[in-house]
Amino acid sequence: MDQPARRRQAFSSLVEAYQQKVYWKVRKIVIDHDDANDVTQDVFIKIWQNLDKFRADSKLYTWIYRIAVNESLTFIQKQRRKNQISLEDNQLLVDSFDKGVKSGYIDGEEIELRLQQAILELPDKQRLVFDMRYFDKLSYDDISEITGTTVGGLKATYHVAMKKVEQFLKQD
Amino acid sequence: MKFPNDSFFNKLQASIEDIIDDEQLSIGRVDHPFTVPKGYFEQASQQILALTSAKKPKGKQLAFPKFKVWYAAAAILLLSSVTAWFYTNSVADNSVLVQNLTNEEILSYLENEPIGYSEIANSVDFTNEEIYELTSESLPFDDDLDYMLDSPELLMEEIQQLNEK
Repeated sequence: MDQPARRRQAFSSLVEAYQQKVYWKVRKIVIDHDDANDVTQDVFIKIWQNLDKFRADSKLYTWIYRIAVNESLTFIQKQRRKNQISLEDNQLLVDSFDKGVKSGYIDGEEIELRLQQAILELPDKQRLVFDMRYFDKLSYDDISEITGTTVGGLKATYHVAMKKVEQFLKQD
Repeated sequence: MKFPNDSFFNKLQASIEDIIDDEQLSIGRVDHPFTVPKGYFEQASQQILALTSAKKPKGKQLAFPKFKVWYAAAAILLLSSVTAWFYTNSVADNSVLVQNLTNEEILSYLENEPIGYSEIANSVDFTNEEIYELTSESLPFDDDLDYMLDSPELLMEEIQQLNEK
């Protein structure tokens, strides 16, 4: 088998193994399904184009996560600029969330919805760290490699995020 | 601290305590409420593979592409030439420039510049002959000189002092 064919086969396996994980990672950041679909495609195009740059000494999923997180953040920042709102404003995401609930693309128990609403109150970085640690159960070392932040900084960020989520859920 | 009557909150609280204690999560995975249309993932995989087959993978690139190196070299050469030209033309030897000036041009310049007699005397090493030659002419350097030219005795005294120095 020649090199392009081997490459194509490797990529195909990678898509099979990581497509859903990447989609869910992206979806939880950009919220809307159609947006998540577009961003996921961009992520895999980037992976395909840069497969040669992958360093064998780093974990494949941290490399893929890193691309997914960067693409997702870039996407929501573009959306904010396009709508001329502050780069820290999560209103667009909250709107997408509400729209998703109404259309049935977001459907869960009341408590799950409340938790997601609480997470949407967090700034991007805290939201990301919370998601990777709480839902994905990634180690701080892995999150550090994905986000390029120190482990100490991540622990502090996660702690603050947890406190805010707790505070939000205690309301009412 | 009272949470709503759902065990989830108790688990969340427990997880917060664990994080604070030893950075470990004791709570199990909490499912998110997001859903996708039926059959989405199967279809999406095919879409991704179709999209990427149309795109060529990027080859390994040099840190600086070749054409950029040429542009950089040309820019450096141009910058060096301009700098050298500017330096040569702006910092020319003053003595060469002065040699090209006529006496009239120098005198015209001195007349229009607020330079005093003492400044000129201090900056130029005159020979005795030159001093006598200068003082024999009436040059409007400044008021001091005019006054001295009106009083030959004072002028001779000044010249003598200069010679002693």
